[in-house]
Amino acid sequence: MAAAEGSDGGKMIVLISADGQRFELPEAAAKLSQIVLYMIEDGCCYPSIPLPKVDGVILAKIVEYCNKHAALSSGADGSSDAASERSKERELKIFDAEFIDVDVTTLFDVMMAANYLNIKGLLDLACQRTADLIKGKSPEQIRQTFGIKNDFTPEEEAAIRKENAWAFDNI
Amino acid sequence: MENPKKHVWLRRVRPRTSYHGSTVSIATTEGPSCQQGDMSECAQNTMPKFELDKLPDDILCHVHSLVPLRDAARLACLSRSFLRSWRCFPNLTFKPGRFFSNVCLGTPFETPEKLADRIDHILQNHSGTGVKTLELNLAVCGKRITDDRINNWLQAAVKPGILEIALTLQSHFNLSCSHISCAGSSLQSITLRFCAFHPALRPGCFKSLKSLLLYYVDITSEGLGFLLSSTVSLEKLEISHCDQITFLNIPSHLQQLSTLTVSLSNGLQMIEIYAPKLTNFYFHGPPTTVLTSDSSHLKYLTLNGVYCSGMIQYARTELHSIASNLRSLVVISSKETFNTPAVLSEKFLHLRKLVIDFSGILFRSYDYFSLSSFLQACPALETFCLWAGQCDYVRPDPELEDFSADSLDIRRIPEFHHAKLKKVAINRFFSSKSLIELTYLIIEKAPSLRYLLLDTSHGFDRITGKRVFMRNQEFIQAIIDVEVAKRYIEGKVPPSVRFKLFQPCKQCHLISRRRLHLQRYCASKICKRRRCFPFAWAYI
Repeated sequence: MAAAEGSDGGKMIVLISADGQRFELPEAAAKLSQIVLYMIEDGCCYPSIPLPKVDGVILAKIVEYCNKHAALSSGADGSSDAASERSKERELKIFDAEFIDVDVTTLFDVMMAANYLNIKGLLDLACQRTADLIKGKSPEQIRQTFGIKNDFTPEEEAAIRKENAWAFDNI
Repeated sequence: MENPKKHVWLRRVRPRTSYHGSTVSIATTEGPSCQQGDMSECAQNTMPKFELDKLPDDILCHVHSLVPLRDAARLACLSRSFLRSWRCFPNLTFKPGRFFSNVCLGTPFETPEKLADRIDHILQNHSGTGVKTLELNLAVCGKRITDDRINNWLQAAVKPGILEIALTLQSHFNLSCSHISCAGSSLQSITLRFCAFHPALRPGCFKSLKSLLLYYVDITSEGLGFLLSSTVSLEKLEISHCDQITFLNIPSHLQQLSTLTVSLSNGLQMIEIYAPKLTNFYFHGPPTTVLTSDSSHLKYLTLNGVYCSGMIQYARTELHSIASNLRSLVVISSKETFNTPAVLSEKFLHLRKLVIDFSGILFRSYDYFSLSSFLQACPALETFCLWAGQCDYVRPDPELEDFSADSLDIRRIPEFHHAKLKKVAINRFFSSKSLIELTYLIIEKAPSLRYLLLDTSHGFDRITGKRVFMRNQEFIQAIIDVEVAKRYIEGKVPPSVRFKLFQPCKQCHLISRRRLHLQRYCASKICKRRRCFPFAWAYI
């Protein structure tokens, strides 16, 4: 059942999220995750791969990401036409931009899941999005948005603020 | 949770341009309105928040390294984990922009001092480890920073492990090679501007170096030779305005080198190329002796002779011995003393694309028909773009004024035949008999022709990509040119050819007397009408 043939003849891999949801995706898409890749190579991917650290909602997003990226990069070896390559790249870029445009809670979960599953492209995407959200915000806004606790003593904070005073002009 | 998501999407639709800091304002002014709501909602529902400082250290450092220096410095004031990451912040980019804010407000004497203090401060507090990029741009300092200070900075920041150095220094500053050679084995990119550099390095010292760019660097031919001999994996080399170099030798051990740019280095007398993979060569300067070990290596060549004389003549006589196997050739010339002769002795059998640009106003009486010899010499040519000379006050060719197309005495070459030519563009087309003759020749003797563009506007500036404005006089002349082209050419084009006669548009091209004082190459309004975007291939 788990190793059923997909519609295009490729093998399908079943992932099970922390809350017991099943996700079926082609092997090529699942292999984007290094950790799943190792499990496939070791042959311990049947009947399914449990992912106890990843929530169903987040896993659904990650499966969406892997499917899209695997589908668009698989055709690359078949038709190495420069123009179609470019259009695929553009499509992926648009997809990525829409995909990562989520609220910060989801962003955090996606980042943690990408780190756990070791999907480099997705991790980079999530990091870049976080950095974009940080840019130009005042420390208070960042603290609020990203829930960063102040673990400095008041003296320490004053010292470090003084050291970096130049960065606080015109905020 | 559905609603905020929708908001986020709407917010994202607006492009995040980084133009005068609007990235910042979009994020700050619009972001919090929904994010704050989002967070308070999260707090109420006791949902897990985004806890940036709970991320594993390597991810946290990665996120930190992606924000600009100023934002990164502010982040350091948030928590200990960010402070730790700040102490080994990898991208030290000291360049104009946000980092220089409030530095340039004082007198010209205060600016360098403030800036230097700021850099001192950051580097003193930096642990010195983990630096991947050092970008130091002292262009605004006007030589007021002492050499010792710059040396100290370099010593503090350039350590083994660094990948990229980009230094814009002060022209009298002598860059000691020990500063960068200590990090030689990891360096992948070196960019130097405005300094003196006299390297004496052991061979293979820069074994990872991929890109070397030198602009306005006081370096001798021998010094550059040393530098090149210390690299093995160089892929890109660019030398610009280095007047001390008289002799450039690209040695054969540079097996990866694919792109070479040599531009406006006035002392240069000779270039020898032995690198086997060098396919792209951009040269800007007066015609110079070039020797290649194998003339079949170069594939894409640009010979830019703006401000110089005789580049087309050079391409005609010398080019074949340097590069016989070209795919694409761009020749730009400001002055020519000879017309191209009727037959070129050598053929470029693989050339697909040819651009000839007569740049400047000295080509009014040039015989463009003579370029047919170039077409004959390139039997595989598919795309031909000609930029006719710019004319300040062109008088229409007197021959073209009274006669009709049939009575004009047109020169023809009976044996001319071109089987591959598909796309032809004549930009800056003006009423010249020789241009019309050349067009006739192509129409009649190139049966594979599919596209023909005659553009009477001044086209686009090749560097900025913007439209070149026309003065009123030029604009009126262009309309006359369109009439001439209609009279002589339009009727002769066979139906199989997509013919486009492009007339300048008032909105895009005309420059008013008031705007004449502004930049000539700045199009403030871009006309969106389709006819103002003819074939894109014609403007490369």
